[in-house]
Amino acid sequence: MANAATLSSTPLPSASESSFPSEVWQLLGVFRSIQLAIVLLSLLGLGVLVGVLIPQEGLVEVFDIKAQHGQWYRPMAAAGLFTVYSSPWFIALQVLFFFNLLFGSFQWLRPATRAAVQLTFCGPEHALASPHKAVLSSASTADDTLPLVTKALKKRGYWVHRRHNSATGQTRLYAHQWNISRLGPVVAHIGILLLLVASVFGAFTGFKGQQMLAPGQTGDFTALDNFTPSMSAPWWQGSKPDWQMVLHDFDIEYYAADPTTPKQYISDLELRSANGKTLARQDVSVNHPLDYEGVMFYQANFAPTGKFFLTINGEPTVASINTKVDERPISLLPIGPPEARQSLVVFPFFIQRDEGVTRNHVQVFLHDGTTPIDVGSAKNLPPHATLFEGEHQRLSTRLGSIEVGFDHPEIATGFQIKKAPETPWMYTAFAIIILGTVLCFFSQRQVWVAVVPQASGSAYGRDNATMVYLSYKTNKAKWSFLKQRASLENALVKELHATLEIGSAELMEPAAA
Amino acid sequence: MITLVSESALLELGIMALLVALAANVVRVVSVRLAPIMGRLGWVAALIALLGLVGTLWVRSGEADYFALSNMYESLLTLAILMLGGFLVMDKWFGLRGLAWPTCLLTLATVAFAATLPTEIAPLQAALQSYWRAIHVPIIIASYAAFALSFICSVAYLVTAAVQPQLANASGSGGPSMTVLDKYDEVTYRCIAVGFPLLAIGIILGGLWANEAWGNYWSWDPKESMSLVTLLAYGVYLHLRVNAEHHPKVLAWVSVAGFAMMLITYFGVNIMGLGLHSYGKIG
Repeated sequence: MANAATLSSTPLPSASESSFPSEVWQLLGVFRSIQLAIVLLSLLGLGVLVGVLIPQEGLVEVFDIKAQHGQWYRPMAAAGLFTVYSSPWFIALQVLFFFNLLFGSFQWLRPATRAAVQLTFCGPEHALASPHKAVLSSASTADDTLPLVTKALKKRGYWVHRRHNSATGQTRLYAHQWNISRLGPVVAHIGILLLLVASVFGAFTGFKGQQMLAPGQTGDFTALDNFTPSMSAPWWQGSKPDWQMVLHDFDIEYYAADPTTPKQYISDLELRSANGKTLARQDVSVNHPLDYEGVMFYQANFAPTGKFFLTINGEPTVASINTKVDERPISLLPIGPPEARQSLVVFPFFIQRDEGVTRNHVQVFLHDGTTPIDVGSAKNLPPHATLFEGEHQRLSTRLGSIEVGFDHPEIATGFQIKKAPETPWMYTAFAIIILGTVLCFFSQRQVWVAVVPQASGSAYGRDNATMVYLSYKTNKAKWSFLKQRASLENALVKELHATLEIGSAELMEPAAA
Repeated sequence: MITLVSESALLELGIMALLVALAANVVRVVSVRLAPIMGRLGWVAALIALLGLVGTLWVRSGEADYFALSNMYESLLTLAILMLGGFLVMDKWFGLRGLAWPTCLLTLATVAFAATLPTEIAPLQAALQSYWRAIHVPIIIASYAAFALSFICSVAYLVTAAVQPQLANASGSGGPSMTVLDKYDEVTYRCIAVGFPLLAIGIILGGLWANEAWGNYWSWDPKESMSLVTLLAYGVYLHLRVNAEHHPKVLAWVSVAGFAMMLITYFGVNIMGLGLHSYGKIG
């Protein structure tokens, strides 16, 4: 029987089918097995789980990790447990996974494509040998039977192909549904491969860095923090853009109804060419990056610079952090006649740094220079201190004979700057993965039919009948398919006035759900 | 927006209807005589519960002036809606009335848990103010709902197989004979076959959003990492299924393990309060 191989199960390509020498192909067999895929998926899952459960450097301070693990820190660090995602064993698992995907996917590509597009026709022998079969004997002629069988299959969503053998008088039908879904796993795997390749390509050709800028400040690409030109530093160091970044303003917007929740962080950013020409200017905010010639500027963070804009007796004054009290940075600004030895203490509290602080604020007070400075805390102010809350409230207070006005602290904005030439490939890979996984959802079904005009002396007891042999195959949803088969056979029995000699319905046990 | 019914009244309606649906479906299982009427009552009550919960989020969205899917309370209600709605659809397709009471119980537990969480409508943080929120979050929650249903079916498989070993021996043989266990096995698979692409798509779209907001597709943030573990666990399930030699019982256990990973992703990471996804804080 010509089609037996195709029908039993989709065969793996033999060594002779592949373009590799057979020894190489056999050696690669280790990489391409689905068992290895299952083991690797499980190990990768466990690895990531370890990374979630054990605090990772970068997310938690190394100091805290050491304190938490004591004597176990060294062996655990040596095993890469605090840097799981960049540890040699995790990268080795990823590399193995890549090769498993590569060889595993391509070994299935050809058979899956063939099975998805190939038309196969089977005779009664195949139906009788199949575990999933039905045989009907119809009093109708073959010519009357065929359109009814075809119609019943089409009604159930099948594509039906027909082949007639005039020598035997047999007509064979091949009906299939969602055969294209066979390509789903291969397509999804190719998408993942493309994703891995694109991210490696990006790592070699892109760059990433951070830049903090205070309003009015200008920066350039030579001084990016955490600049990661990936593995190809020499290629990129010379080809970083020569643009200037000018920050005109930075503003934190708060919700009117809830002044403690920031609504948006907005940086008015301008890009200038080396000769001072404006290339682009935009308000950059979270979710709204600036894209100029493929270089993206994201609103990433903000931080106080340590400068405060004040007025002292109406005169604009800038106070800067210049000393520390109890390990806390403060600004000590001599004020009034030198013999008074008076200083203005400006002590900032910041959301990110101080526990219990819900809003950046500043306390100012006069210090007489004789007693130790007591900065207290946000909730427990030293005596005579005045608390200024907010950044742009232009508050003022009288400290002795001095009128102190507080305008705002200077806040620098942080940009994440990135050039990612792989982006279109990443998006393509995402689209392919989505297509593949969606295709996988559908379950392919195949029905082979042989319509055979029967001479007298039929095996099924009815002379001059038309015999209809059906055999079925699906890969996934067997229970639903059985229900559909029963419905198909019942419809055929009714419409063809046929007898069901062998059928699915009788094989079904009553469902107890 | 002026609303005729308050959010809390609709939530109470949802909870009451869920209680009725649960009671009716339990009675349906224990009493053969009352089964038909209780079956119908259970269905209608589940439908009313569904409407009540959808109404709750609808009214809330109107009051908040944004699509109400921004914290744990709202996401749990969405999960309850998708779980119950998904079950009603699956029941129509597969006839799963026997699993109605565990589904009602799980939905009720989800809604009851949500009701214990802070329900104040809070303004959105900067990172959440994006159209991506209305795409990424519902897709992820839909995948969770599909996994919850697959979990119910897997547990039903394991319990039925333990109680009726003769059915367990017959199922998964590859022969033409089919039992209720085969149905549970298939519905588990179908749910995972829905949940897996949804989770994959959700993670990918989350990556695109992260790239747009922060300039990084992936940061190995605990929530991201755990969602990858969940995806890998269900990936193992699907690959084991390709290998037809594995008995459905093994698959059912893998599905249960996948659900455990999903729970850690959904709640565990938030309880630890780590990372970039701290919006869904518990308590």
